[in-house]
Amino acid sequence: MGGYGDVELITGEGKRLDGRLADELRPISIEVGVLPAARGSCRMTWGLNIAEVAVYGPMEAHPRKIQRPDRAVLDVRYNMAPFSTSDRIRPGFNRRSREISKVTAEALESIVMVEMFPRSKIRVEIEILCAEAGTRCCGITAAAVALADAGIPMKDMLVSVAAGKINGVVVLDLDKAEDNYGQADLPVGIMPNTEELAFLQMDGDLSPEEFNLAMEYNMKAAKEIHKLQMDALKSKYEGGDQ
Amino acid sequence: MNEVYSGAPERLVIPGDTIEVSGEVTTGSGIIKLNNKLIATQLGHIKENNGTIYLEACNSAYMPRSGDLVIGYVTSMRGNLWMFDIGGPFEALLPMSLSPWNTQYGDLEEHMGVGDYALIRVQEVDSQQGVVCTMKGIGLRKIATGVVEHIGSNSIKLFVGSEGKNLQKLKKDSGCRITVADNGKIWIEGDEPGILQVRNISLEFSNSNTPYPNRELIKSFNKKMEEI
Amino acid sequence: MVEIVPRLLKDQLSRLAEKDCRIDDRKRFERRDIELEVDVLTNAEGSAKVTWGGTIIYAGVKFALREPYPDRPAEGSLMTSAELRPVANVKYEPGPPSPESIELGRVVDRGIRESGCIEMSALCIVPGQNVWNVNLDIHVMSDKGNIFDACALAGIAALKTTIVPAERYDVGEDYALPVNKMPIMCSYRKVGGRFVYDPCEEEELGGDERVHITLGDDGHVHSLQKGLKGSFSTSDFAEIFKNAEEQASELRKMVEEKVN
Repeated sequence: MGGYGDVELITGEGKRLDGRLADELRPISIEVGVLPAARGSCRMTWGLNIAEVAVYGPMEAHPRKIQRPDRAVLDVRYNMAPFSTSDRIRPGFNRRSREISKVTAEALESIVMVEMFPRSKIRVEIEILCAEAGTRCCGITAAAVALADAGIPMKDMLVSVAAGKINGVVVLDLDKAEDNYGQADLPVGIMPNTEELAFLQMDGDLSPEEFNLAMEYNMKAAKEIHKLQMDALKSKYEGGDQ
Repeated sequence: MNEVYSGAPERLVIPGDTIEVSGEVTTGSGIIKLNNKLIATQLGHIKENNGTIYLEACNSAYMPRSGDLVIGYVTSMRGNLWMFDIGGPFEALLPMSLSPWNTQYGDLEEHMGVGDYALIRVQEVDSQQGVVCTMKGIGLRKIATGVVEHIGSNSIKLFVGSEGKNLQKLKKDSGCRITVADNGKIWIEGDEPGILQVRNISLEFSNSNTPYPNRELIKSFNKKMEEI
Repeated sequence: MVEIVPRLLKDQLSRLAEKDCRIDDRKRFERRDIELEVDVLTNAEGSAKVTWGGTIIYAGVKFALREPYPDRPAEGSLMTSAELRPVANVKYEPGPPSPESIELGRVVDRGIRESGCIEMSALCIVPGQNVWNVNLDIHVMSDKGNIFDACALAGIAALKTTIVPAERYDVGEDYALPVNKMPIMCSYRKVGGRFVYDPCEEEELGGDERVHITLGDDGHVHSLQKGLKGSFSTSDFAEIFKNAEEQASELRKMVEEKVN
């Protein structure tokens, strides 16, 4: 979070730099079955973000030491391609990617029925091809779709979205400039059918009223995004039963 | 017949979708009970069979079950057993005692070695997903001739057809013996032209870019079957 | 990961080869369908996406300003790297770079950099002060066979449509990166006893010797790489070389269409 107040990110009339209102999402598209080598896959564009996720498994968990006798482990890798950002990212170990991989795995734990696959692992490979704020939310949301495409049993879908605050105003779905100069960032993971929170993080400063408004925006957006997930998954089959 | 499933016939659902039912109902695979509601756990169609509603997943990995007929290949051998890749999450064991041969300890290679295909049956799957197979049974054997093609476990129903009509048609037209295994592999035996005819159809699946039959694949497969 | 080759597959490939057939029903030198797109990544100065059968590759070009090395005061540099990440196929387990990944990087680098398609002196802004460091990164998203040719195609297509970001770095106006050659790679594999073009996944599994030929616009050979095993005859080579010229010319047209 950078300095606040010095960059005007939202006008008095409530218009943001890209023309959006406070509670509007950037344009989102979701496609499934886009990676032929994967068991399940998803491509998601969110604003200028592009994420492609492949799911493999369930398969025997190797090495032995990561195996759990009563369930599958979620082996999640979130990775940003070198050309995904303004300044090139050198390939190799990246602390931020490691942290996001872990957060993503923990979020997906709330929905994937891992007890059905003892001693196995399910690989979730998230590749960010183009980044423009909100890649972690994009990755998690796309991963849930890829898992569903792969037929991995889950008790719900998962949608991840973030709200924040810019120039003292609570807004939904921060873009790059808003993320850099904003005053708060609240990404969440929501299970759309039960409205439970799979995860919640917060950076910055929000009053109780601002927090509630931010959550309200997140919940409403999650419903919209869930509908897009559903349409993407069903589009390959609607009207095409055997 | 007592209709307990009150949703649209064969409704397409995604994980987390609620399934409406009237009255008591038994649930089959793919459906769980959560907070007093029935929830779908996979992308698939809701079906009913004699009061039991279940979910037929569009795409799922092959999970071996006791009694499954499978086609696999030997990946390694140790002691007195062969390890097979049968396309499931775990490799399957075939102990020598469950094979038709009566050999000494360590003479496995004489009969089957790494890379050999065999038609075997799943005897048992334990709670830890360990799989034991048997080659004792009618028709079970090492596969030494013909070809093995991959159509995928999600495509078996489509390939075989209702009441097996597609399979019958294909067998008749090609003059080949075709064995369809539960793990999505098929074994074709016959003369070269016959095998080519069957492969012309099975290539729809092995060449496909998805592990499940989507609309385009169903259409082009049906078209090819009509041309026979 | 060591892959087992089923014996029946090898037999089948041989029998098919005898009848001039391939396992996925193609002819001997028939290529799978290709879709080439450029300008697909907004944060890259040049980019391309190649969908080659079921193989999918992204290539991105990134620029950075740096001081020249003391022994080359008027030259910039081009670095090529290729990543074969676990996303691409179930057989690529996570961990340190696999031998396949390392080889891919080397082969692609040789094919593109050693062709001299970019003059290092053209990457000089102010001698002794400012030069461009160009990075071409190739990302394999799906491996269904013949990633080498697909990577090489994505790489050269990305370079050919790259815009030098001079304005962003305040060193002048943006302009098209001068790429004066178009090296194209063609890979062949011995399957069932004869060489075929553009091997699919099963042919790579059950095949033997392989060779990768990179040809320039003028028909010159920029590089030739043979896989480790086996050898091939001069007549084999003559046949392959002739076909490579045809394939390369078609692929070159495909890239040229996107440049204009």
